[in-house]
Amino acid sequence: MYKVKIDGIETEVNPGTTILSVANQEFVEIPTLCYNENVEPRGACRMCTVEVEVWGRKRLVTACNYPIQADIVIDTQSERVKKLRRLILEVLLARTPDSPRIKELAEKYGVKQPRFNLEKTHDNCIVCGLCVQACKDIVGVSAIGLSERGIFRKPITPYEESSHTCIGCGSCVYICPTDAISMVDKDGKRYFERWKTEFKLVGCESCGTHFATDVQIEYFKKVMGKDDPSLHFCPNCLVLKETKK
Amino acid sequence: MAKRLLSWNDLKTLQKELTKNINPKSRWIAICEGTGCRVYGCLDVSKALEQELQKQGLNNVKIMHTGCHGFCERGTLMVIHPEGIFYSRVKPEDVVEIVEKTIKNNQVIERLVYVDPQTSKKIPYEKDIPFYKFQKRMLLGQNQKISPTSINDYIAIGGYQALAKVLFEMTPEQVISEVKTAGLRGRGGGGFAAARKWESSRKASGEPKYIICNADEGDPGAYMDRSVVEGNPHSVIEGMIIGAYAVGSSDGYIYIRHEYPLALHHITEAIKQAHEYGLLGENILGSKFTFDIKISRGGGAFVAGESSALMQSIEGRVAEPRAKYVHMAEHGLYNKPTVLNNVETWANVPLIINMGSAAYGKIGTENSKGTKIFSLVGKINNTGLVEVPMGVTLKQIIYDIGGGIKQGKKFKAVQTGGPSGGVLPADKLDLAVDFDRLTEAGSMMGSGGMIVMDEDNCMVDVAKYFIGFLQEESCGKCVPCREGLKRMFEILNKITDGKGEESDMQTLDDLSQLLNDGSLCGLGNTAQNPVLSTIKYFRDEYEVHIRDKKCPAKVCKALIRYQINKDKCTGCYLCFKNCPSNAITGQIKQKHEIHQDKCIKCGICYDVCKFDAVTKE
Repeated sequence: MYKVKIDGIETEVNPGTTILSVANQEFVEIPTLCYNENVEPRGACRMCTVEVEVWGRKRLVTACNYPIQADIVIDTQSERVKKLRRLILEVLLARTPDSPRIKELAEKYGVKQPRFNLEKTHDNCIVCGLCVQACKDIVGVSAIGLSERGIFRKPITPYEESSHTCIGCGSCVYICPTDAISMVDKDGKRYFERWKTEFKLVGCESCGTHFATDVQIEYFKKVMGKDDPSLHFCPNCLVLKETKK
Repeated sequence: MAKRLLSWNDLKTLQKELTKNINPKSRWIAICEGTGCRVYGCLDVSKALEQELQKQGLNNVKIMHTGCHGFCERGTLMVIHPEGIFYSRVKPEDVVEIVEKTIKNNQVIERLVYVDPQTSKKIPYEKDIPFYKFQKRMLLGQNQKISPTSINDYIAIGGYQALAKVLFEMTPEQVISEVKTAGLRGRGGGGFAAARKWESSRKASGEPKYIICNADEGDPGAYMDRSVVEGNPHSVIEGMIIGAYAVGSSDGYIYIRHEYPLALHHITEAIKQAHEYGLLGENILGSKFTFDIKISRGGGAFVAGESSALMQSIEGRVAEPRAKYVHMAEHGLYNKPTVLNNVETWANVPLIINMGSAAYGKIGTENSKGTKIFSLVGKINNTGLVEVPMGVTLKQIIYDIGGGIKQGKKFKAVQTGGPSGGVLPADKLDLAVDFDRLTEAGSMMGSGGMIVMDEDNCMVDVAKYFIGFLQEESCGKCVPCREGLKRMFEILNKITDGKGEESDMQTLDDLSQLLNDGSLCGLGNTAQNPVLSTIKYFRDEYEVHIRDKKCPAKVCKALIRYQINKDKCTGCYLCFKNCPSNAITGQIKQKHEIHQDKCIKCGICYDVCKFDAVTKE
């Protein structure tokens, strides 16, 4: 066990515990954007940067993926940290001036008008990579990936064409922290504008509500190795059926 | 198939056999066939020389097709031994005369002899040429004695003896201790103590352990690693095997960029030869030690030279750095203990073993030992690779070795350390060059790039160049580097376009902090250095751009205008003919005029005018 002092609160943790999990446990708020507990933290957005003192040395580290390996003093509110947060939010706000999430964070941390030209692309993507990670590590299809580098880096389907491996599950939509991916269910079809991919929706055998894409159902059958009865009903009806039993 | 060497004795016997017929007085010719000289057509010179020697029946004159000699600006280079006569800019048509006069009759051909640009004196012998005289060529010197594709050449000059000594006389701990005592620091950028990495990797649990050679050199203008791999690939391999023995590794990788075809060819060939001799593979030299090296080719991304990104690339993924809160020495390639050093660092290892750490430790400064190779480029008379002991001053490198600034112009600044480094002004010329002094001055050693700039260089423009480079080469993973560099580049463009505002200086300072404090990897953490160092030493130049909308060095196009001085113009028509945008009007023998609305400020009129009638303001 290592001794931890986070914003004055003292506690002890097991080796390898991340700063962010200690913070959550002690109700210390650290802002995050690209962190999601279901995938491995990449430390890409840098929002969760905090100042630590370890082995007598002060440094800035990202809370999401820094494993505690010694006694440590963590400061989530130092001047250096606060300034860095403001600077990160300033460049992000200039990139995605329409994003409600970024606007909210910017306001909270005192960033008003960025000093830079605002992007006019109306794209809320901050290239955090969560969609790509979810698609690969949670869904397991890798229908999207990050292409190019530097300022041109962006998540795309292969060759930016309609993806053949996408199952239309929408995990990318749910995990995106800035609502940059849209999914529209209309007239029995599901459409992802960003991925230029369209799917046929399947209705629940009980209530008729569209609840998944046909490709998604087929993929689940393959993963489960059988045509499970649960794949024919929407989540609501499934719960009802379970309770009736 | 070569005979496998089964013991140290076998190696010694082979060396004896290879050297027994060498007469120190015999005639041989070293021709540089490095990439630089190949561009000058050295292969045609070699061919012509071979044919001429054969024609003349001079079969006892040996031609050594070597790697880079370093004096790249003067290629094709030829050194005629035993005297060490140095000919530069040799063309195939010079060969007949060289054979006739120099080879057969020991005469020096005056017109091929090097002329010192400062004293205008002719210097026939290589050892007397200032470019070579003031260097200490422990690594590069070997390039001139061997053919890179011949393992026998390397063995003849004592190659692989250090390895044998290590395998049969030293424990791994002793090797680490020797390297530690020698004070070897990584030549790739940060200058981290090599032995410390080795030690923690040796102690770390996990099998196999990996040894990596980073040959993904990518700084603009830097090519020393390429020249070492091209010219002396076995020195790198030997260093890696010694490192592997010390760490307890059985698997090695050389990560080399695909844009280095000759280096790739030579290292591939060298690995094959080392295998045949039993210097790589199982039971090296009959010992119990086993180690092998694979080659991994990089696609040319600058960021792939960052250690964690490089390992991702070897694993077959996109080269993207990751957090290094747990050291690579413990969790590196495939999450196993990994030691990564660059080409020059590995090539230093056999030297340390051969010389002994005490002798090696005498070279250099207190905390920076040994020599460092710099690629000296820019507005300098003697462009090329120079190897100097740590601690020599910038002045010695630039003036004594480099021969001073081109066309007698005034030195303004030197940029060291590549895009992560910074510029140093004239009052830092007496700075002793080592890892710590350069960092203290706001630059860094980096991999050893040294770009010399004169009065015609605009420092804002220089900062813009490097930030532009970095913005393109940033991997784009983390926000500070991706977005911060973009904004920095925008502001620098604004300033050079004459639209700068006073507040831009503060914004640049803030963005520098964003990069330094916020970025994920070393590339982003140091990316602000070109801006910070130019502001630190040339703040006034930024201010003139912003306040007066002028570029003092007359580089920034938006801030200059070309005009014709009517008193000097003879109406020769030359500028009129060459102007690509038809911005010049006038008749023959009448005064010409530049129309500013059409002028694209390419500067061609300025360059072609023979009467200095075109002025730049």
